[in-house]
Amino acid sequence: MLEIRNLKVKYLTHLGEIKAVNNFSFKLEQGDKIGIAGESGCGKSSLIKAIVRILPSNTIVDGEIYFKDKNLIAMEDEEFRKSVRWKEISIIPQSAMNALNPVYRVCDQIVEAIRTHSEITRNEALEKTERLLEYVGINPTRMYDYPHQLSGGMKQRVMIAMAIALNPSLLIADEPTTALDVIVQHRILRRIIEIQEELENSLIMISHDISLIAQTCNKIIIMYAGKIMECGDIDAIFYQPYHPYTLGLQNAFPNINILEQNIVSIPGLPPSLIDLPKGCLFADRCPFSQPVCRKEEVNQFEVEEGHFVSCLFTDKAEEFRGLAKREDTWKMRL
Amino acid sequence: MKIMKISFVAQQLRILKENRLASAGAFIILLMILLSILSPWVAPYDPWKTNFDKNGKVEMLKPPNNQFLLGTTLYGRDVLSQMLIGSRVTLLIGFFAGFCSAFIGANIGLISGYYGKITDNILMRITDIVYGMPFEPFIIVMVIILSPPKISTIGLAIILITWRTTARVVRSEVLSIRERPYIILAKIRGADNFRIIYRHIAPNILPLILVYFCASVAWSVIAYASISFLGFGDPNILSWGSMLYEVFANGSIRAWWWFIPPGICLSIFIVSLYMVARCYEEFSNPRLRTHR
Amino acid sequence: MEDEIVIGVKNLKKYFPIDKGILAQLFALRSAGFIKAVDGVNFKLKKKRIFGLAGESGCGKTTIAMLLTKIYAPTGGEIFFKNKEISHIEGDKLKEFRQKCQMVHQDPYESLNPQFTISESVMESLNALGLESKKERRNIVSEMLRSVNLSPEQYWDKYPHEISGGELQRVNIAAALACGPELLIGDEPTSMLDVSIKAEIITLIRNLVEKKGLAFLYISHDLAILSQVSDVIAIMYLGKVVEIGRPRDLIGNPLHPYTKALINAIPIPDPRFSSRAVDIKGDITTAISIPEGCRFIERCPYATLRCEKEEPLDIEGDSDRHQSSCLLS
Repeated sequence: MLEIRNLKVKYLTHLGEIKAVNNFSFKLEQGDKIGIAGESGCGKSSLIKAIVRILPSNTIVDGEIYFKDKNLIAMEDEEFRKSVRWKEISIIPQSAMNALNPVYRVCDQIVEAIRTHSEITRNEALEKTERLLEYVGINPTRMYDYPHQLSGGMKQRVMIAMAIALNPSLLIADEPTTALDVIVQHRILRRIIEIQEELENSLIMISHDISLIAQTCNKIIIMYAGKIMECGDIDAIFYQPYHPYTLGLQNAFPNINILEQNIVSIPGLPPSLIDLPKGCLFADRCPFSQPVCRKEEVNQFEVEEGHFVSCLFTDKAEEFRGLAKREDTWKMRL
Repeated sequence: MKIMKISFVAQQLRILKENRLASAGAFIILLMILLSILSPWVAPYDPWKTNFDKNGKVEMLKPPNNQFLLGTTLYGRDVLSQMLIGSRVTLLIGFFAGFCSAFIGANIGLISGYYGKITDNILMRITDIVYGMPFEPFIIVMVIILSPPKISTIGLAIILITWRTTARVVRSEVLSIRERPYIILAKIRGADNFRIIYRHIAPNILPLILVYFCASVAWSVIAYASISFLGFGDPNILSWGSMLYEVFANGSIRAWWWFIPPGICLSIFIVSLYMVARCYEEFSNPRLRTHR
Repeated sequence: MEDEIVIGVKNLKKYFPIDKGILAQLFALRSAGFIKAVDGVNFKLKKKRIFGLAGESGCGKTTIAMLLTKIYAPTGGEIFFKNKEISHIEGDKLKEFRQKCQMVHQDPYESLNPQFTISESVMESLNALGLESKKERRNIVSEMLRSVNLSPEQYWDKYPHEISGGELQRVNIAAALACGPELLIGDEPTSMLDVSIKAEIITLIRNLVEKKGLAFLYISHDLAILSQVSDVIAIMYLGKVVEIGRPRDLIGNPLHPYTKALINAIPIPDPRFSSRAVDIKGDITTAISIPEGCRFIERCPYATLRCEKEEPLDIEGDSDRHQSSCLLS
């Protein structure tokens, strides 16, 4: 349903070209729940903005994004706004609680969103809003409240309601639960999954927390410095990870059921997106890197069906998995 | 103050350089300051001296010519020399009153904003009262009360009316900085109130204070020129304002060379001040701060 | 001695009066009420131990940090620093205490004065408290920077906006340790850091606690991290500690319904673990109109009549025992 080919997103600033997304390609089938994991600055937000076309004016976008066989990048602004945005693809933005206008009532904002993208009367829109709010778990009487009267969790649900209002085929959730308490987070995520299953749309969820993705998605993409390091089915990635970055990330997320785990960090910092290093972008922080890693850009290898890894040493994965669990492996890079 | 290190000057120069308008403004101001300092040596004539021509007649209201580049006044005095020497008082009172006003206002704002509660209430009510007073009438009344008019009393009156704006603005900035984590942490690290106000908060407000310093200088210059123009200035002191007073008091409106130069120079000076102030305003705007 | 108690609180309370609007203030006579941010808390922090304080937003954990660092004065109860009561100390005694108790804040970017260089920030506690000679202060700053793995030569003259979040947090830790405190409070020290940096800072904290014999209060909403790093965990809800114990006990065998809910809500980095049921209802209430009896009643799936009438059990400051305030545990 959604196919991205060789997407490149560059921001032009007075400091230089910031290459936020580099050669990003993947396919999303209908009904997929894809999680995009990565730290801040890895390009996930830029990727989403490119899909929904809300990038600022100083960006260059290269490559193709095919949605139901239409190239989104080549589309005219008007057409995109009318036929795609909100109707086919909608987004629950990051920091959604700050996305609500504090001087308008909740119902007004949802109604406006609905009526901008569809031809229904105000009364119909109000009815729909009532039903939507009930659907996401908010008492419909609250729709006449102002945003500041709602809790963080409720504001988030309002954003979800807005996003699913026109029943889009693709729902994108950008860090939907940051700043929410853990119990509220749990509930919101559950609702998102339930909604997705009931409406049968597809989901892209972005998070820096791979545990959240593990609980919600069926496929995962690990992003680093704008490139895909590893992607595939969620089980495959979690139980048979190949890429050293994935191994490092796993160490950083303790499992509460297993006590006295070592929380190990990946030393160093992500590379500058203006002066991208040659070869593999993770080489500088990778405990297993060899001189050959810095020679040329690393392509994706398909190690199993649907499981892609951008590493030259996929054959050594077993060995890496064992070594990555040890603290001293990661210390060597310091 | 330990806050003003040598690098502070270097920092300010760098900030000004980046903004063309501000650089132009700063250049003009410095030029004016330089000319006014050198004026005793640069001025071709004694500004108080009446000039006579070869026949012993007073060189009255002569338009600009080779001898008197900006013409002469009703009393045969050289306008150019008057401009140069008059700039000293104008600029001096501007900077001095502006500095005092900004200093007082900033301190009141810092103390009021930091301590809050009763202190804040009292200081802000006083500020409100001063805000309620009209600008020039207040100065005129003060001058009359403290007559005879001398620049010291006029300066004092100007300071007493202009500090109010700086105080309000600084206070509101302090209110927002006061709650920032690094201020609370400064308290935890052991800093007492004095240290927090002057070592931690004040440096962050400095760009804003500089904006209002420039503005205060501008207001002081305008105030003094206005008061002089209205005839309440010190009659023994030469300033651009007093020149304007003389022209209009004598009805010599036709002598454009006499009132246009001081008028234009006043305007240029004020505009230059505002250009520099704008540059600092942009600088102290938090949104732009993140771009550094 | 390892088991030495550095700081202890007994029945600590902090109530904030609610401001009413002008009209209400003019016409009403009754007080509007209080937000009972901290409502009777007991615990003890020991040397070389990390004490984890967990709970959702609004539970009072940040207020506890402000109380311990003497930014707020307690409304009730006592705070003992090495057997001396410090609730209302001032002046020189307060300065003495400040040298012994420091804090690290969660936002690495907002914790440093943007006008100060790194060295000035780290030196601040020494300057403010008037400790050591000028030359000694420079040496201490170098030593502190090195102890957090930052090279003094590189970072001495840098400004906060020039360095990254992880490095900034290390600077914050160095600044907190400069005056040689015995108690360090970390208010969510890693919540705003990137995933791969978090572990670095946690390891750093662990090493420093061991090396310098600190007592560390680790405040966090992230039970998963606390379970790995703390020696004791206390769970707070609406101003009271509802359960306390060693991670093994608390997480392996949670006694209080709230703890159970919190643990079940945490996502597991393992796709085969489907998320478990979180039984509690409703949203977190505010600490204003707290009902009699157990304050968790409205949300508790096991609430009985007894819970409405009787006060829940008291948690003793003796933190090593696994205790829960639930009447049904």
